[in-house]
Amino acid sequence: MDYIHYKFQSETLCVGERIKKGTFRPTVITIPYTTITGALKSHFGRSEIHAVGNIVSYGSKEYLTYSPRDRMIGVSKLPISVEFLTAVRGNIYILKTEDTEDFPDRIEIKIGALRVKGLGFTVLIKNGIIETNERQVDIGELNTRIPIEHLNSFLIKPIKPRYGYLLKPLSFSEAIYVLSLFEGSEVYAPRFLIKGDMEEWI
Amino acid sequence: MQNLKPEIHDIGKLIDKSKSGIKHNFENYPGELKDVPDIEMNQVWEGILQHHYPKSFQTFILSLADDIAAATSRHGMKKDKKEEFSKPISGKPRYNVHKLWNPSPEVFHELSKAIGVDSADPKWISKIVRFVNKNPTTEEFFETFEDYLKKRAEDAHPGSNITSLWTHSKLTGLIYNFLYGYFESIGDKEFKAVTKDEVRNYIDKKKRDTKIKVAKLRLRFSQSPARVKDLNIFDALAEVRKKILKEYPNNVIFSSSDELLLLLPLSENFEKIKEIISEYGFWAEVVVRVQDLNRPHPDPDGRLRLIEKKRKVLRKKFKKEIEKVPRDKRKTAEESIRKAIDKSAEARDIEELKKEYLSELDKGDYKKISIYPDLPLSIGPPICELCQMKKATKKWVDEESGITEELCIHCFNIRERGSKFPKLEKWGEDGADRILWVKVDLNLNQLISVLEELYIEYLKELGVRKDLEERAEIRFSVLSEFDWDYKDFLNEFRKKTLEIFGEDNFQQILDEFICIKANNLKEILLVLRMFDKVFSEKFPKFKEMAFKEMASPVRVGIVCSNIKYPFLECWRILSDLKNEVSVSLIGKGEIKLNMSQLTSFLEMDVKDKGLLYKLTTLSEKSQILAKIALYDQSDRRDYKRYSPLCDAVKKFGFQNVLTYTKIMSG
Repeated sequence: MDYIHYKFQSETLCVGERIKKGTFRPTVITIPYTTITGALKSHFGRSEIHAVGNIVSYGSKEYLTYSPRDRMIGVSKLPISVEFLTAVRGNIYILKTEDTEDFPDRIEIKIGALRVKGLGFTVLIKNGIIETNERQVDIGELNTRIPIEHLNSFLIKPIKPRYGYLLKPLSFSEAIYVLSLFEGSEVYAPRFLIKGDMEEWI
Repeated sequence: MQNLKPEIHDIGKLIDKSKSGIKHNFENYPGELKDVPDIEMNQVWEGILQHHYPKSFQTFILSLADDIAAATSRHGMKKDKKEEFSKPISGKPRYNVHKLWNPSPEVFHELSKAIGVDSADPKWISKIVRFVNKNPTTEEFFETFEDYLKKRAEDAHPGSNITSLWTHSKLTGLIYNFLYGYFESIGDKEFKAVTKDEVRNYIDKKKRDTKIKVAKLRLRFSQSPARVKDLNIFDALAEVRKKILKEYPNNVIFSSSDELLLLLPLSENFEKIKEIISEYGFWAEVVVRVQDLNRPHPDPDGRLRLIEKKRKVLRKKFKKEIEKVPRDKRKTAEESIRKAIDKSAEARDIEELKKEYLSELDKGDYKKISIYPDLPLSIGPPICELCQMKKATKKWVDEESGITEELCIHCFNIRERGSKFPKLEKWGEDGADRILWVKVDLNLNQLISVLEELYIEYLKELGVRKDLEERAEIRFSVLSEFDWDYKDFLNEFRKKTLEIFGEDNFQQILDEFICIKANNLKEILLVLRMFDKVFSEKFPKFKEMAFKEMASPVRVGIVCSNIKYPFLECWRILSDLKNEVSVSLIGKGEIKLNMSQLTSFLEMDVKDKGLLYKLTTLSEKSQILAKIALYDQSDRRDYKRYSPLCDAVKKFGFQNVLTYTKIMSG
């Protein structure tokens, strides 16, 4: 299988979890399948896109406090604090398909939450094509989040899984949570989906 | 099966054989002794008399349990060349326990001196015989002889005296009960008709042929505690642990609040564990290895640990080589150094180990699994806000703000438990702005690695030069022995911290997790000082190893935040401590130290408050500006005053020192 490798940078990024305590929205520190695939699908308007990503480094965690406004009734809700990362650098891996093979070398998209507040502007720079097959998988800790139903697209086999749920859109107004493998799962997977340490010398 | 009281089988080790002539299994009692009572046969005596040469099914099991619970392998007693290394080391016996992490400076070659009683005195021997004659309970045994059992090494051969008779006795009892239920009952006749050698051979064969599972289990929860009431999750964690201990009374060798090491039958499928954790919405990570009873090892992850150990050697080698290259040429030299290192013996070993590791995983003798409650493939919204693992079916309305949260039944029940940590609630109402979350963490894999190194060091002290790594095998008994001391260390640390901060400002959440209401940031240093003091007292050898670049298995993390700050963020740091000493001041900075740096870091003496204030204020604008100010020679007066800080920066790094200055400015 072939994967198009992009390096990305984003000055501010929030991949939000569900709001806690009604007032605090934490961010995850990886790029889940649903986040990046959703962003690419909406950017290119194509359907056969499968992508995952991971964060290599970030500057700091910052907080943005704002009050979401209910436009129907014209009332602001209780302010919430949204956690976001600054100076984020990382990788995006896109499965090469008919829909993705002609992706440009540079992609500018908005990913994650609070895009209307200016967060999530991201530049992807193409770094090359990674060719891999089932015999070239390694063992280690997964560095991304991916729904179980898409594990085959990325040659991932769980050993000691860490499960969670990711939100999968069904239509413009509907979505469900699907069982997914989270970062920290021990897996057989292509080397680029495995966390740092295992890459060194073994 | 309890009539045998396996824990008492080695009571004879409290008698000095060299002076009284009595063997510890009493087979030659009373020998030359006069004025001592006769043995009045009961099942306890049967255990004592037959635990080396069993004549019944029960004593056969006892013999096996005794062997597995020993500090060192008993195989050395055989003249097998391959196992030559485990022959006892020659030299005078050492009756006192040499705790690898905290050895006593004194060595007692006489039993009486080690346990503080004349152990060859007929009165003492009579006391022991009369005690066994009355068919005592195990509780009576431990109560009566506690002090002596704790002081006497289980095996007094030099180099084998690394666990106490106390630990060995307790562990033998536990393993006996486990094996008793595991082996099919063998008729007593089988043992009566055969010679001693035949019995020994039979035991050895049984040990080789019998498979067990050794499992390391870590309890986890998916919940992200947000409100103070969500901290009830720790109460639930304690409950889950208690239930597992109740369900597996004869299997848990070692346990902390969230980690357990278990001996299990081959048929174990963890269904019971799944049932227990499912009740709370928890999950568990399990590493399990099938081993034969011959030499069970407490470390199911051994091969990975070995890979990690060898990789550390490689990294060190790489660092050493790269430092020889001038700075500007390092980038280009990196590749060639890596290639050279890739060809080293260690790198080849790693490749071999990795192949073995993968093949073990394939064969299934070594398994890594996660145990989850049954998880549906999809969940329609809303999903629980706290665990994000179940459909939210309950609504929680906050009385104060009116905020509604959607929760699953497990998370709702955990909140509904009421106030398990009342002081936190009160501090919440008071709006306490400096809360110290303090967590101590023990890494079992690292513990085994450090203990192996310390054992090698001890054997070297005794003059052993050959087969050091094979000899320095850490068995269950050493971990059990450590477990007592670790719990003692935690108690002491909590007690001392409580003394400093007082009842009103102290809340225990788990044995290794406490919370303190601080008035001043400087109080973080008080906690660290106390930790350092108790750590140095209880584990001085870990501290020494830290100076030899061996990471400490015991870590401490402190997070300082406002009580209103979402606890889940603090927990994210504390549940995965990356450094041996980590302090995190939310929104202000971090301290990351090795255990070897801690004492000198705490001794750092910067008294000039004005200077600290200036540096802190500068860093709030720009950290780089603060760094420049430290080294800026244009202001001669400040430059001189900054010199203690500059020295500290060289030693501990700028980030650590900057956070220190923030702490010092209160």
